Amino acid sequence: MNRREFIQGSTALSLAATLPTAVWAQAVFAPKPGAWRNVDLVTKLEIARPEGKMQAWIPLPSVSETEWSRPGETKWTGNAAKVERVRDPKYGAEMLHVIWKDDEFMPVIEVTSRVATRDRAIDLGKPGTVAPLSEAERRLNLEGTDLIPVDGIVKQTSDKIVTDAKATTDIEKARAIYEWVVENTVRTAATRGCGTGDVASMLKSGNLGGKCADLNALYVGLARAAGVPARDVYGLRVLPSQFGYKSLGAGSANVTRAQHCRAEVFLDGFGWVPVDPADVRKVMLEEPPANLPITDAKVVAARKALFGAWEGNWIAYNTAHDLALPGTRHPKLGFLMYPQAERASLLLDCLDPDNFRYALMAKEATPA
Amino acid sequence: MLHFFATWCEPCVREIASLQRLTDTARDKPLKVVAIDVAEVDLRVRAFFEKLPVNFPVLLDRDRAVTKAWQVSALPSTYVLAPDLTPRLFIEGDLDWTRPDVLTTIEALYPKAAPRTEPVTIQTINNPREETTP
Repeated sequence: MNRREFIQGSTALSLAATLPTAVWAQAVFAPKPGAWRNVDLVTKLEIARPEGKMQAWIPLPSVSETEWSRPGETKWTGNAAKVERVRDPKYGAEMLHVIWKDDEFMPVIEVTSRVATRDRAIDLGKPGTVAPLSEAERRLNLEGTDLIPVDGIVKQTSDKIVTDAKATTDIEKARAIYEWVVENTVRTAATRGCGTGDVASMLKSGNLGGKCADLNALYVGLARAAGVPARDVYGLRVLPSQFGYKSLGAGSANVTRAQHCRAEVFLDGFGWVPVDPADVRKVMLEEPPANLPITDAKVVAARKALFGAWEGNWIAYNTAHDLALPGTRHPKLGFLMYPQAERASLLLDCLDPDNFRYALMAKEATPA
Repeated sequence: MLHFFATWCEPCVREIASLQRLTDTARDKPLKVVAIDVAEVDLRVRAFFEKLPVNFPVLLDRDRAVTKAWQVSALPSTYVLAPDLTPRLFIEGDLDWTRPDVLTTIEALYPKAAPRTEPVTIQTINNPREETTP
């Protein structure tokens, strides 16, 4: 840096520091595809109070999309008797299935996955040439799941939203449902983990509070019920937001509790479009100074961006629902976003990492 | 009473405490409460009731089979059964079970009471619409 550049930089900094609040209120949240960022995700899992048969299932980043997500190598170390990489045949969700010998004294495994990620932004004013979904993909992303039915009250609600908005095209329907979810749901701080995503129960009870797995599952259910293919994308925030949104980024390298589920909707001419109404409500609840009104500049900026864009400070695990864990008699999981483990045939509480125990650490790797 | 709930459901947590008060109030009455947790990990439910002890049994519907069989699609939901185990009341949403009108309605179902022929209605806290017997 030469002296002239330094002076310009210093001047800009001192001016910025004295700008009135009104100027800072012009919030910017504008993800744009740029450089790829390589992230190393380390999952360390130990089974507390080991007893009897013990096994674990660790989700692996397995969403491969040329424009925004490239899972890389996965390595592991530990004292398991058997470690197997398993791929769910329906959704392609990958996990590491780990089995220890019975009564292993100190069962432990550490898994490191490299993932490349970057921002996404779709210009919804400029449709391009995008291959349509295959019939099988379309069917998969329109069907109901155990917790996201697409008939009954979900269909009735979806129909009302679409009718009230006078939406006729898929993009109009997708946007109308996005705005409805933003305006009618609420992020509930007390919800454990990311919520359960029991969409019919939410609508029937009228309690539209929850977190990302509730709010974005609601979006997906309503979109599917409107005949627009949509899917949840389960993942993890791994890096801070480059737009200064504390609520939308990892607060530190320890990302044990940073799970976040996003959504996508498939629109002809655009392909899979990123959507995240749950994060709009998160900004409202958590972005300092907290409890922001929907008219706050930071909320407005996030709301505008999060239909069509998202920031690449997050990595995707999978898009799976109703997933069976191999090698156990436990019922299917609604989704796989947390490490799972079993001790003496009892599934541990994945929302209680301190007693389970597991920890997730993420670090941006130096570009090769 | 068959009470379907989950520990993640905020109204359910309120209602569990209300059910405990009901069982305390009606401990000399022919009333049994059975709570059914819907699709949660055993250890999570156990930890929940360590903090909020109750004196009625809590069963685990791990795969939602029982919940589906009873056609429960929202939590909390409660069936009140007559002595011959036929469903007499269905309440979707949370309820203050110690409310006088609620207690009166339940007492009308005790064995010594004459059988009712009219559907019973009851108003929930969050969902003010009236629920009728199934």
